[in-house]
Amino acid sequence: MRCDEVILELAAPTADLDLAVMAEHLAGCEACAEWARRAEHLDRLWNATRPIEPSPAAWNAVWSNIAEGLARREASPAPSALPVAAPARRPRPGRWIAAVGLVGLAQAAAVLVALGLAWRAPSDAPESRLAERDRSIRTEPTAIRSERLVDPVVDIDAGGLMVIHFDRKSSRLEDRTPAEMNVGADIGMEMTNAMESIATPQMAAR
Amino acid sequence: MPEAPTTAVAMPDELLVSHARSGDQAACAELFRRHRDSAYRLAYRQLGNEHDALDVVQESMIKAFGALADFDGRSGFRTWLMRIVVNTALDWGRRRHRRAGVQIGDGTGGSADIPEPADVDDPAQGLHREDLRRALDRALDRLTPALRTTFVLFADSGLSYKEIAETLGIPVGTVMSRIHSAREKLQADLDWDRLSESL
Ligand SMILES: [Zn+2]
Repeated sequence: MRCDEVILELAAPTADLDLAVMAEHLAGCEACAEWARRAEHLDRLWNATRPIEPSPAAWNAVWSNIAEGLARREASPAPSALPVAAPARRPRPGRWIAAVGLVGLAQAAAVLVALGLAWRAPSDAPESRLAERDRSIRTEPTAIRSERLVDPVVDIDAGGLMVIHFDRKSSRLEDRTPAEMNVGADIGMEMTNAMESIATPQMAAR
Repeated sequence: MPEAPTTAVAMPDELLVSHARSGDQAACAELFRRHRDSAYRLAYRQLGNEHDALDVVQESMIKAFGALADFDGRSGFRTWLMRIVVNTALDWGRRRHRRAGVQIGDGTGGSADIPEPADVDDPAQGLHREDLRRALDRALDRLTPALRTTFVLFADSGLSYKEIAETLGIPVGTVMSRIHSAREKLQADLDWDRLSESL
Protein backbone atom coordinates (compact mmCIF):
# COMPACT_ATOMS: atom_id res chain seq x y z
CA MET A 1 0.00 0.00 0.00
CA ARG A 2 1.32 3.42 -0.94
CA CYS A 3 1.66 6.35 1.46
CA ASP A 4 -0.63 8.57 -0.64
CA GLU A 5 -3.40 5.97 -0.49
CA VAL A 6 -3.07 5.76 3.29
CA ILE A 7 -3.15 9.54 3.69
CA LEU A 8 -6.16 9.92 1.42
CA GLU A 9 -7.99 7.34 3.47
CA LEU A 10 -7.00 9.11 6.69
CA ALA A 11 -8.15 12.46 5.31
CA ALA A 12 -11.48 11.37 3.84
CA PRO A 13 -12.32 7.85 4.98
CA THR A 14 -14.11 5.60 2.54
CA ALA A 15 -13.77 2.30 4.42
CA ASP A 16 -12.42 0.86 1.18
CA LEU A 17 -9.04 0.13 2.68
CA ASP A 18 -8.49 -2.80 4.96
CA LEU A 19 -7.95 -1.51 8.50
CA ALA A 20 -5.42 -4.22 9.29
CA VAL A 21 -3.37 -3.31 6.24
CA MET A 22 -3.60 0.38 7.20
CA ALA A 23 -2.45 -0.38 10.72
CA GLU A 24 0.45 -2.40 9.44
CA HIS A 25 1.50 0.46 7.16
CA LEU A 26 1.22 3.00 9.98
CA ALA A 27 3.31 0.81 12.27
CA GLY A 28 6.12 0.81 9.75
CA CYS A 29 5.89 4.32 8.27
CA GLU A 30 6.75 7.24 10.54
CA ALA A 31 5.57 9.88 8.05
CA CYS A 32 2.08 8.41 7.73
CA ALA A 33 1.93 7.73 11.47
CA GLU A 34 2.68 11.40 12.14
CA TRP A 35 -0.02 12.42 9.66
CA ALA A 36 -2.47 10.12 11.44
CA ARG A 37 -1.59 11.66 14.83
CA ARG A 38 -2.23 15.15 13.53
CA ALA A 39 -5.47 14.08 11.91
CA GLU A 40 -6.59 12.67 15.24
CA HIS A 41 -5.63 15.89 17.02
CA LEU A 42 -7.61 17.90 14.48
CA ASP A 43 -10.64 15.67 15.03
CA ARG A 44 -10.35 16.18 18.78
CA LEU A 45 -9.97 19.92 18.38
CA TRP A 46 -13.01 19.98 16.10
CA ASN A 47 -15.10 18.09 18.64
CA ALA A 48 -13.89 20.24 21.53
CA THR A 49 -15.00 23.40 19.74
CA ARG A 50 -18.48 22.36 18.65
CA PRO A 51 -20.80 25.33 18.92
CA ILE A 52 -23.00 25.68 21.96
CA GLU A 53 -26.49 24.64 20.96
CA PRO A 54 -28.93 27.54 20.89
CA SER A 55 -31.58 27.41 23.59
CA PRO A 56 -35.21 26.54 22.76
CA ALA A 57 -36.02 30.23 23.35
CA ALA A 58 -33.42 31.24 20.75
CA TRP A 59 -34.87 28.79 18.22
CA ASN A 60 -38.38 30.03 18.93
CA ALA A 61 -37.25 33.58 18.27
CA VAL A 62 -35.62 32.52 15.01
CA TRP A 63 -38.78 30.69 13.97
CA SER A 64 -40.94 33.73 14.78
CA ASN A 65 -38.74 35.85 12.54
CA ILE A 66 -38.94 33.26 9.77
CA ALA A 67 -42.73 33.04 10.02
CA GLU A 68 -42.98 36.82 10.04
CA GLY A 69 -40.64 37.04 7.07
CA LEU A 70 -42.70 34.54 5.12
CA ALA A 71 -45.94 36.31 5.98
CA ARG A 72 -44.54 39.66 4.85
CA ARG A 73 -43.20 38.04 1.75
CA GLU A 74 -46.63 36.71 0.89
CA ALA A 75 -48.18 40.10 1.52
CA SER A 76 -45.56 41.88 -0.54
CA PRO A 77 -43.07 39.91 -2.58
CA ALA A 78 -40.57 42.79 -2.69
CA PRO A 79 -37.30 41.73 -1.08
CA SER A 80 -37.22 44.90 0.99
CA ALA A 81 -40.23 43.61 2.93
CA LEU A 82 -38.10 40.86 4.45
CA PRO A 83 -36.90 41.30 8.01
CA VAL A 84 -33.38 40.38 6.94
CA ALA A 85 -31.04 42.41 4.86
CA ALA A 86 -30.45 40.30 1.79
CA PRO A 87 -32.87 39.59 -1.02
CA ALA A 88 -33.65 35.97 -1.79
CA ARG A 89 -31.73 36.14 -5.03
CA ARG A 90 -28.50 37.96 -5.29
CA PRO A 91 -28.18 40.02 -8.42
CA ARG A 92 -25.89 38.28 -10.83
CA PRO A 93 -23.35 39.94 -13.01
CA GLY A 94 -24.91 40.17 -16.43
CA ARG A 95 -21.71 40.02 -18.26
CA TRP A 96 -18.39 38.43 -17.56
CA ILE A 97 -15.02 38.75 -18.96
CA ALA A 98 -12.89 35.73 -18.43
CA ALA A 99 -9.32 36.41 -19.16
CA VAL A 100 -8.05 32.95 -19.61
CA GLY A 101 -4.34 33.10 -19.29
CA LEU A 102 -2.58 30.78 -21.30
CA VAL A 103 -2.59 27.30 -22.14
CA GLY A 104 0.52 26.38 -23.91
CA LEU A 105 0.57 22.87 -25.16
CA ALA A 106 3.76 21.40 -26.42
CA GLN A 107 1.82 18.31 -27.30
CA ALA A 108 -1.86 17.57 -27.19
CA ALA A 109 -1.49 15.29 -24.19
CA ALA A 110 0.84 17.49 -22.22
CA VAL A 111 -1.26 20.00 -20.39
CA LEU A 112 0.34 22.85 -18.59
CA VAL A 113 -2.21 25.36 -17.60
CA ALA A 114 -1.94 28.69 -16.00
CA LEU A 115 -5.32 30.20 -15.50
CA GLY A 116 -6.38 33.57 -14.35
CA LEU A 117 -9.96 34.67 -14.22
CA ALA A 118 -10.90 38.27 -14.12
CA TRP A 119 -14.48 39.09 -13.44
CA ARG A 120 -16.00 42.36 -14.37
CA ALA A 121 -19.05 43.01 -12.32
CA PRO A 122 -21.87 45.26 -13.47
CA SER A 123 -21.07 48.94 -13.38
CA ASP A 124 -22.94 49.54 -10.14
CA ALA A 125 -21.00 46.90 -8.25
CA PRO A 126 -17.43 47.06 -7.05
CA GLU A 127 -14.90 45.36 -9.23
CA SER A 128 -14.27 41.83 -8.12
CA ARG A 129 -11.57 39.44 -8.96
CA LEU A 130 -11.09 35.82 -8.29
CA ALA A 131 -7.54 36.03 -7.15
CA GLU A 132 -5.37 33.15 -6.02
CA ARG A 133 -6.66 31.14 -8.90
CA ASP A 134 -3.33 31.01 -10.63
CA ARG A 135 -2.43 27.43 -10.72
CA SER A 136 -0.62 25.08 -12.91
CA ILE A 137 -1.06 21.43 -13.41
CA ARG A 138 1.24 19.11 -15.13
CA THR A 139 -0.15 15.80 -16.16
CA GLU A 140 3.10 14.69 -17.70
CA PRO A 141 6.17 15.24 -15.59
CA THR A 142 8.34 15.56 -18.65
CA ALA A 143 6.18 18.12 -20.37
CA ILE A 144 8.15 21.13 -21.48
CA ARG A 145 6.45 24.40 -20.84
CA SER A 146 6.03 26.26 -24.05
CA GLU A 147 6.24 30.00 -24.22
CA ARG A 148 3.19 32.20 -23.77
CA LEU A 149 1.59 32.57 -27.11
CA VAL A 150 -1.23 34.99 -26.62
CA ASP A 151 -3.48 36.31 -23.90
CA PRO A 152 -6.98 35.66 -25.12
CA VAL A 153 -9.93 37.49 -23.64
CA VAL A 154 -13.18 35.65 -23.81
CA ASP A 155 -16.31 37.67 -23.46
CA ILE A 156 -19.02 35.59 -21.89
CA ASP A 157 -22.66 36.36 -21.32
CA ALA A 158 -24.49 35.38 -18.16
CA GLY A 159 -21.65 33.86 -16.24
CA GLY A 160 -20.14 31.31 -18.57
CA LEU A 161 -16.57 30.11 -18.46
CA MET A 162 -14.65 29.16 -21.55
CA VAL A 163 -11.15 27.78 -21.62
CA ILE A 164 -9.02 28.11 -24.70
CA HIS A 165 -6.38 25.46 -25.27
CA PHE A 166 -3.61 26.43 -27.62
CA ASP A 167 -0.93 24.51 -29.28
CA ARG A 168 1.45 25.85 -31.88
CA LYS A 169 -0.87 25.19 -34.77
CA SER A 170 -4.41 25.42 -33.55
CA SER A 171 -6.69 26.34 -30.72
CA ARG A 172 -9.66 24.62 -29.15
CA LEU A 173 -12.48 26.22 -27.23
CA GLU A 174 -13.94 24.35 -24.30
CA ASP A 175 -17.10 25.34 -22.48
CA ARG A 176 -16.57 24.86 -18.74
CA THR A 177 -19.64 26.74 -17.62
CA PRO A 178 -21.07 25.17 -14.46
CA ALA A 179 -23.96 22.94 -15.44
CA GLU A 180 -26.51 24.63 -13.27
CA MET A 181 -26.84 27.60 -11.03
CA ASN A 182 -29.60 27.01 -8.57
CA VAL A 183 -31.47 29.30 -6.26
CA GLY A 184 -29.08 30.62 -3.71
CA ALA A 185 -26.15 29.79 -5.94
CA ASP A 186 -23.18 32.02 -5.38
CA ILE A 187 -21.58 33.19 -8.56
CA GLY A 188 -18.12 33.49 -7.04
CA MET A 189 -18.34 29.99 -5.60
CA GLU A 190 -19.64 28.57 -8.89
CA MET A 191 -16.71 30.06 -10.74
CA THR A 192 -14.25 28.94 -8.07
CA ASN A 193 -15.64 25.44 -8.38
CA ALA A 194 -15.43 25.57 -12.15
CA MET A 195 -11.85 26.83 -12.07
CA GLU A 196 -10.88 24.33 -9.46
CA SER A 197 -12.33 21.41 -11.36
CA ILE A 198 -10.23 22.50 -14.31
CA ALA A 199 -7.06 23.05 -12.35
CA THR A 200 -7.28 20.26 -9.77
CA PRO A 201 -6.41 16.73 -10.75
CA GLN A 202 -9.46 14.66 -9.95
CA MET A 203 -9.22 11.85 -7.50
CA ALA A 204 -11.11 8.75 -8.38
CA ALA A 205 -14.50 8.74 -6.70
CA ARG A 206 -14.70 5.65 -4.59
CA MET B 1 -43.91 28.08 16.71
CA PRO B 2 -46.79 25.88 15.61
CA GLU B 3 -46.63 22.35 16.89
CA ALA B 4 -46.13 19.98 14.01
CA PRO B 5 -48.77 17.31 13.73
CA THR B 6 -47.59 14.14 15.43
CA THR B 7 -47.66 12.31 12.10
CA ALA B 8 -45.06 14.76 10.80
CA VAL B 9 -42.38 12.96 12.78
CA ALA B 10 -42.58 10.04 10.42
CA MET B 11 -43.34 12.13 7.36
CA PRO B 12 -40.51 12.21 4.84
CA ASP B 13 -39.08 15.58 3.87
CA GLU B 14 -40.51 15.31 0.35
CA LEU B 15 -44.04 15.12 1.68
CA LEU B 16 -43.45 17.99 4.09
CA VAL B 17 -42.07 20.02 1.20
CA SER B 18 -45.22 19.46 -0.83
CA HIS B 19 -47.35 20.54 2.15
CA ALA B 20 -45.09 23.54 2.70
CA ARG B 21 -45.50 24.53 -0.94
CA SER B 22 -49.21 24.85 -0.44
CA GLY B 23 -48.65 27.19 2.49
CA ASP B 24 -48.83 24.72 5.38
CA GLN B 25 -46.92 26.50 8.15
CA ALA B 26 -46.73 23.42 10.38
CA ALA B 27 -44.87 21.62 7.58
CA CYS B 28 -42.42 24.53 7.32
CA ALA B 29 -42.00 24.44 11.09
CA GLU B 30 -41.22 20.74 11.02
CA LEU B 31 -38.67 21.16 8.22
CA PHE B 32 -37.10 23.98 10.22
CA ARG B 33 -36.99 21.81 13.34
CA ARG B 34 -35.39 18.91 11.48
CA HIS B 35 -32.65 20.83 9.75
CA ARG B 36 -31.93 23.83 11.94
CA ASP B 37 -29.10 22.14 13.87
CA SER B 38 -27.13 21.10 10.77
CA ALA B 39 -27.73 24.51 9.23
CA TYR B 40 -26.56 26.20 12.42
CA ARG B 41 -23.37 24.14 12.76
CA LEU B 42 -22.51 24.77 9.14
CA ALA B 43 -23.05 28.53 9.45
CA TYR B 44 -21.23 28.67 12.77
CA ARG B 45 -18.07 27.06 11.41
CA GLN B 46 -18.13 29.39 8.43
CA LEU B 47 -18.65 32.56 10.44
CA GLY B 48 -17.08 31.82 13.80
CA ASN B 49 -19.82 33.08 16.10
CA GLU B 50 -23.28 32.13 17.32
CA HIS B 51 -25.16 35.32 16.51
CA ASP B 52 -24.17 35.44 12.87
CA ALA B 53 -24.84 31.72 12.58
CA LEU B 54 -28.41 32.15 13.87
CA ASP B 55 -28.96 35.09 11.52
CA VAL B 56 -27.75 32.99 8.60
CA VAL B 57 -30.05 30.11 9.55
CA GLN B 58 -32.95 32.54 9.70
CA GLU B 59 -32.16 34.14 6.36
CA SER B 60 -31.52 30.77 4.70
CA MET B 61 -34.82 29.32 5.90
CA ILE B 62 -36.73 32.34 4.63
CA LYS B 63 -34.98 32.00 1.26
CA ALA B 64 -35.64 28.26 1.14
CA PHE B 65 -39.32 28.41 2.10
CA GLY B 66 -39.83 31.36 -0.21
CA ALA B 67 -38.28 29.51 -3.13
CA LEU B 68 -39.84 26.07 -2.70
CA ALA B 69 -41.45 26.49 -6.12
CA ASP B 70 -37.91 26.38 -7.58
CA PHE B 71 -36.92 23.26 -5.65
CA ASP B 72 -36.97 20.51 -8.24
CA GLY B 73 -36.50 17.61 -5.83
CA ARG B 74 -33.57 16.13 -7.74
CA SER B 75 -31.53 16.30 -4.57
CA GLY B 76 -32.97 16.03 -1.08
CA PHE B 77 -34.40 19.08 0.68
CA ARG B 78 -31.54 18.93 3.17
CA THR B 79 -28.88 19.03 0.45
CA TRP B 80 -30.69 21.93 -1.23
CA LEU B 81 -31.03 23.79 2.07
CA MET B 82 -27.34 23.27 2.89
CA ARG B 83 -26.47 24.81 -0.45
CA ILE B 84 -28.51 27.87 0.43
CA VAL B 85 -26.89 28.03 3.89
CA VAL B 86 -23.41 27.78 2.36
CA ASN B 87 -24.10 30.63 -0.03
CA THR B 88 -25.85 32.77 2.55
CA ALA B 89 -22.94 32.30 4.95
CA LEU B 90 -20.47 33.23 2.22
CA ASP B 91 -22.46 36.38 1.49
CA TRP B 92 -22.68 37.13 5.18
CA GLY B 93 -18.95 36.61 5.59
CA ARG B 94 -18.28 39.05 2.80
CA ARG B 95 -20.64 41.63 4.27
CA ARG B 96 -19.13 41.36 7.72
CA HIS B 97 -15.74 39.83 8.19
CA ARG B 98 -15.57 36.67 10.20
CA ARG B 99 -15.46 37.74 13.79
CA ALA B 100 -13.42 34.93 15.22
CA GLY B 101 -13.55 34.66 18.94
CA VAL B 102 -16.32 37.14 19.55
CA GLN B 103 -17.60 36.47 23.03
CA ILE B 104 -21.14 35.30 23.45
CA GLY B 105 -23.37 38.21 24.37
CA ASP B 106 -20.77 40.93 23.83
CA GLY B 107 -23.43 43.13 22.31
CA THR B 108 -22.03 42.99 18.80
CA GLY B 109 -24.46 40.40 17.53
CA GLY B 110 -26.80 41.20 14.71
CA SER B 111 -30.02 39.89 16.24
CA ALA B 112 -31.01 41.95 19.22
CA ASP B 113 -34.19 39.92 19.58
CA ILE B 114 -32.49 36.55 19.68
CA PRO B 115 -31.69 35.43 23.23
CA GLU B 116 -28.23 34.21 24.18
CA PRO B 117 -27.44 30.55 23.61
CA ALA B 118 -28.07 28.43 26.66
CA ASP B 119 -25.74 26.45 28.90
CA VAL B 120 -22.52 28.42 28.56
CA ASP B 121 -19.62 26.45 30.02
CA ASP B 122 -18.37 27.34 33.47
CA PRO B 123 -15.92 30.29 33.36
CA ALA B 124 -12.72 28.25 33.62
CA GLN B 125 -13.87 25.80 30.99
CA GLY B 126 -15.28 28.59 28.85
CA LEU B 127 -11.94 30.35 28.71
CA HIS B 128 -10.18 27.17 27.77
CA ARG B 129 -12.70 26.34 25.10
CA GLU B 130 -12.51 29.91 23.80
CA ASP B 131 -8.74 29.50 23.36
CA LEU B 132 -9.19 26.38 21.29
CA ARG B 133 -11.91 28.01 19.27
CA ARG B 134 -9.75 31.00 18.45
CA ALA B 135 -6.90 28.78 17.32
CA LEU B 136 -9.18 26.74 15.07
CA ASP B 137 -10.96 29.86 13.78
CA ARG B 138 -7.69 31.45 12.77
CA ALA B 139 -6.67 28.31 10.92
CA LEU B 140 -10.08 28.02 9.22
CA ASP B 141 -9.83 31.66 8.23
CA ARG B 142 -6.65 30.98 6.33
CA LEU B 143 -8.35 28.39 4.12
CA THR B 144 -9.94 29.49 0.87
CA PRO B 145 -13.76 29.65 1.11
CA ALA B 146 -14.01 26.63 -1.19
CA LEU B 147 -11.77 24.48 1.02
CA ARG B 148 -13.35 25.74 4.24
CA THR B 149 -16.89 25.13 3.03
CA THR B 150 -16.12 21.64 1.77
CA PHE B 151 -14.32 20.65 4.95
CA VAL B 152 -17.08 22.00 7.19
CA LEU B 153 -19.73 20.16 5.19
CA PHE B 154 -17.66 17.00 5.56
CA ALA B 155 -17.03 17.44 9.27
CA ASP B 156 -20.34 18.82 10.50
CA SER B 157 -23.26 18.38 8.13
CA GLY B 158 -23.63 14.62 8.17
CA LEU B 159 -23.92 14.69 4.37
CA SER B 160 -22.34 11.91 2.31
CA TYR B 161 -19.54 12.73 -0.12
CA LYS B 162 -22.08 12.50 -2.94
CA GLU B 163 -24.44 14.90 -1.18
CA ILE B 164 -21.60 17.34 -0.51
CA ALA B 165 -20.75 17.15 -4.21
CA GLU B 166 -24.40 17.94 -5.07
CA THR B 167 -24.49 20.76 -2.55
CA LEU B 168 -21.44 22.43 -4.03
CA GLY B 169 -22.02 21.45 -7.65
CA ILE B 170 -18.65 19.73 -7.98
CA PRO B 171 -17.52 16.16 -8.70
CA VAL B 172 -17.09 13.75 -5.78
CA GLY B 173 -13.38 13.50 -6.59
CA THR B 174 -13.01 17.24 -6.07
CA VAL B 175 -14.80 16.93 -2.72
CA MET B 176 -12.26 14.32 -1.63
CA SER B 177 -9.28 16.32 -2.83
CA ARG B 178 -10.57 19.49 -1.11
CA ILE B 179 -11.06 17.65 2.17
CA HIS B 180 -7.55 16.31 1.87
CA SER B 181 -6.09 19.76 1.11
CA ALA B 182 -8.06 21.40 3.91
CA ARG B 183 -6.85 18.82 6.42
CA GLU B 184 -3.30 19.14 5.20
CA LYS B 185 -3.39 22.93 5.68
CA LEU B 186 -5.22 22.87 9.02
CA GLN B 187 -2.93 20.22 10.42
CA ALA B 188 0.16 22.09 9.26
CA ASP B 189 -1.12 25.45 10.50
CA LEU B 190 -2.10 24.61 14.04
CA ASP B 191 0.41 24.70 16.85
CA TRP B 192 0.00 21.16 18.12
CA ASP B 193 2.73 21.41 20.74
CA ARG B 194 0.59 23.99 22.52
CA LEU B 195 -2.85 22.64 21.65
CA SER B 196 -2.40 18.93 22.19
CA GLU B 197 -1.94 19.46 25.94
CA SER B 198 -5.46 20.86 26.12
CA LEU B 199 -7.08 18.18 24.01
ZN1 LIG C 1 3.46 5.83 4.57
